[in-house]
Amino acid sequence: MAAFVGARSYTIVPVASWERRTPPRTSDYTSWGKIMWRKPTDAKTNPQTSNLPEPAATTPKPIQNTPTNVNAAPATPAPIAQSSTPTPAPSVSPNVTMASAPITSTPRTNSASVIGAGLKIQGEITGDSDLVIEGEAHGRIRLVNGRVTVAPKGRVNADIEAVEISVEGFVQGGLKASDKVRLGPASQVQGSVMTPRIAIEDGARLRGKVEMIRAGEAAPPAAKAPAASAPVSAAPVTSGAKVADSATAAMTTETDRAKATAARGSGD
Amino acid sequence: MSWTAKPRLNPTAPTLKPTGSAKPGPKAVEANGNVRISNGLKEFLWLIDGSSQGRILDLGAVFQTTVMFFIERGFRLSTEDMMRSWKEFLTTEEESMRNMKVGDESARVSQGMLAGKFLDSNLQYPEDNFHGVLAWDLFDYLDAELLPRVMERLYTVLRPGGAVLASFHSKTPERFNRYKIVDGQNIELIPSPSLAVHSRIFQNREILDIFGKFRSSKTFVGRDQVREALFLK
Repeated sequence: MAAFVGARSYTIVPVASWERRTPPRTSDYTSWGKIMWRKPTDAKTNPQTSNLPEPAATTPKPIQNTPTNVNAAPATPAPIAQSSTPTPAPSVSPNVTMASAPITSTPRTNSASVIGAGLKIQGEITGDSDLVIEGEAHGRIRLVNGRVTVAPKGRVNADIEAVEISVEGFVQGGLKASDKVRLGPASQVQGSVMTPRIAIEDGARLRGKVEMIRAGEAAPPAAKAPAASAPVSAAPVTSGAKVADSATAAMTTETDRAKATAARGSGD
Repeated sequence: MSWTAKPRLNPTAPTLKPTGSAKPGPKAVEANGNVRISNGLKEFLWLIDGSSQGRILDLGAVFQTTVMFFIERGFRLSTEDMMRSWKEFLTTEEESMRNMKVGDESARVSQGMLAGKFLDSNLQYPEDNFHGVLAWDLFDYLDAELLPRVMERLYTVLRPGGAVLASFHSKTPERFNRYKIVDGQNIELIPSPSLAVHSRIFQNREILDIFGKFRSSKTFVGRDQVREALFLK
């Protein structure tokens, strides 16, 4: 993939269509002593080739947000199904040139930061990035335009305020979402839930009250977000490593201190 | 009696099925084996009807349909899975007892003290807070020391005129169920891993004694011999 540079359009030929052909003669490939690639005439974007069955390995996938691990310690991919799933290298439809490759717009364009397993953060987390919690978080979480996901082994002892909150682990604190709250089958929530929409899967545990509010009521406008919570770059992200710095910047200084403390004594 | 009114007895005979546009009525819901009619729920809803922004406390497991059922009717629902909390509390206590040093009697507590300790961190709500309390498959399973304290606490958190809907088995249940509200008069039984041993079968007089401070409203007996009792504060 790294060979594709610039605005020149290349054509990717499906493997299946190569296999159907007879092996080319060597003379077809050699000219003036150099090996030349035969021009794949049938791989142009024409209606005939577009009818070919697409190989499964090259199915076009939307370019998704890639998680950025704050502590960068665990290299294991986050087990969250939605936003934190590590995205493989973006594949391209075999019959479509790179220039016109459909980079599907994701529902949320900012990146997801991850509080990895083994990390414990105390303080206030603010910003408008998405956040995945696989470790522990204590204090307050307020993501104006973001989504908070508490992973199955994540433990949160904080009030969470976000657009969308998805809980698979343990939360002790109130959940306030301006869009929706989802409680997974193994989730445990001790606290009130205020949201316009709620999804509770069988097996979820909720100890607290459920109150419906109007959509958008929970999160204040983005303009009122505190200056300390520098927003994460809203550009579409294709590489997890690129957003590491910006995701770290989304943390407040308080949480940075907590992170440093946790990194020093990560025994707990 | 007209002979034409007799039901079709031949099970292999073709039956008319409702078209896709027809709404599933109560009978269609009843066709599901785990769904039972709950006259107690129907009466409970009638009792709490009219309390705008009323607050309901569900002491069972939380289910989406139950939550939405009350939310859509303008109620605010609080849930607390008391059986599971009790079981986890006991497990924790047993664990700490196991880790006690031999001969250390200071940490040993009686059942009554355990019940008090449990309620120190559970069922903590303001007084006169709820308009209704749902307690299916709960009181049958609670410890004898815990039960009267729970009833006392429920009486405190219930508003005057508020209602408690509770169910009691007439025979030892084959399995432990959770309850999910399907609609205004149907509930679905969800078989679940047993969280506690069914402690005892209460006679009607004993049930009245348990709800000592409450006023008895109505009692319904289902085909499954489960009694649903409604009590008012």
